[in-house]
Amino acid sequence: MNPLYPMVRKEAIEDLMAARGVFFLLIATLVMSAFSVLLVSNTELSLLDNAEAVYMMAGIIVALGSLVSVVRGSDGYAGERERETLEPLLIAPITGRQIAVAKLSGILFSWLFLYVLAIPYLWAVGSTGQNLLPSLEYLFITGSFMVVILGGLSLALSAKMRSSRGALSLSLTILLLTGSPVVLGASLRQSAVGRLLDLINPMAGALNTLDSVIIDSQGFSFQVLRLSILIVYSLLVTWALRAATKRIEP
Amino acid sequence: MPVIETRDLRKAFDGKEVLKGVSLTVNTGDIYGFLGPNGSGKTTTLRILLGILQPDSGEVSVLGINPMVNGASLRSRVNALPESHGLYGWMSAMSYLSFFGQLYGMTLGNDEYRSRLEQVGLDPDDLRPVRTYSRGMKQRLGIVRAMINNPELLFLDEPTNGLDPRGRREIHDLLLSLNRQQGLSVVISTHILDDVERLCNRVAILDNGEVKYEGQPVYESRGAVHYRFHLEDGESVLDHWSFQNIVLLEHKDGWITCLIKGISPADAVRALVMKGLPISEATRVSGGLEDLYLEYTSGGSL
Repeated sequence: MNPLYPMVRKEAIEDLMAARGVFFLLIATLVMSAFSVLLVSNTELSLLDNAEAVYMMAGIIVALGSLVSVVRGSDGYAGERERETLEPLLIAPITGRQIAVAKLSGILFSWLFLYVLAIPYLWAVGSTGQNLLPSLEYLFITGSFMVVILGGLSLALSAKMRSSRGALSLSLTILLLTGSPVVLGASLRQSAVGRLLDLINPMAGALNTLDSVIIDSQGFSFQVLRLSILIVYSLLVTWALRAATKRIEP
Repeated sequence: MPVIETRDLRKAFDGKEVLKGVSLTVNTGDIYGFLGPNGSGKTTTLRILLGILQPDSGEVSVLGINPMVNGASLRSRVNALPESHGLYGWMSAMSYLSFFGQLYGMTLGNDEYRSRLEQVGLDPDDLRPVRTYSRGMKQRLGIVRAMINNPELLFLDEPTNGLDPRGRREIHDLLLSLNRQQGLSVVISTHILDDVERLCNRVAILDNGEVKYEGQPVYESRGAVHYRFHLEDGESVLDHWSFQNIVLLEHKDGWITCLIKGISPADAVRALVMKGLPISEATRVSGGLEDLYLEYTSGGSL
């Protein structure tokens, strides 16, 4: 048996078996519950257009997925090193790259689980609108790209840093930096700098894609440039992860 | 034939030289003791031999393979128990063992995993997560994991740490039987000199990144070691003593005192037992490994 398979299986179920994973999923569920209740019951928020409500919910789910991937990624190598479970893995006949693929797959499984959990919430806020299905499709696509980009980057940092807290701090800083241009005011976002930031920032790319699909009902041809940028970032991060995990030290 | 050969291994961390030209030879069938104070470079050497750490310079050959070039292939033929157990706390013993079995590409059935756990006194039906295990149970599980791929060469870092005397004896017996029956070569890094005296036929003493001594675990400058053995029986063997390297000095109240020359105490015990002397206890009188260790190390703690 290829050692990749048991390793992927272990990474996929580890979060569900460990208390940490259950805690994260509980928090994610609470956040989604609170937000969906607000969207349907708060006087001001309930006045939002149905598409706006779905877009806001989708944005929250992408943010939660990104956060979970950063936390899991920064723990990937440095956490195992601290818990002293990395050395038996390195002694086994599995390559550093196979371990990296398994760990990235584990992060994607967490995202998949979160996505499945999020579907009823999206349905609750968007079942009466017309863009629920495309929003589910594009949420999955953009969310998966963000998870690969931020989770892969966190994993690469974790492979090179000895402290999982250090890796987590740096990864969270990167997450905040990618998220911060999104909260720029509307006028600033229309400026040349704002447009450039929107173009090169993967988080902005993901959210603008959801905006375009859910609110503006635009088709695939309008999303090509933004999705291409997400693909380029994913490839760059995969390359960085490959380089960082070529030789892992115990 | 050597299973491990290193020549002039050097390794530095942050400019501090940890290994200063380590040269070792471990032969097929050896149980090789690796001794030295904390920070002497034992773990670094073991990691280089396993191919998970790159030396700055020097030559390494393990089972004829350069670990830096073909590490994955080498690691399917060897295994190791690091100083930390490295167990996934959320797994049960069975799931942990089967995970590593699959990682090594072993096609073992449930019965095989069960029998391996039972061999070291662990209950395969115990579904508790291993984080609830005692230190001794974790150590036993780590040892079973290190044997999962039936390795030709086994590296053990403090294998009897945390075990009670009975547990230590069981691990000794297991290693000796694997060494005798399957020709398993073992490298043991340990702080427990008694483990080395009971198990090892050769030792290396590392101090400050240098091999200060490599050879038999006897204090050669004094020529011999004195041992006392308690016998349950075997009077007839005592009447026809025929051991070249073991001189019988005294026999009194079921105890014999011997002078062991040119072979390790472990080999002497093996020879005596093979001749039908049922030894129930062995005690070093003087001139043993402790003297050797103290002479070749520079006062670091064990």
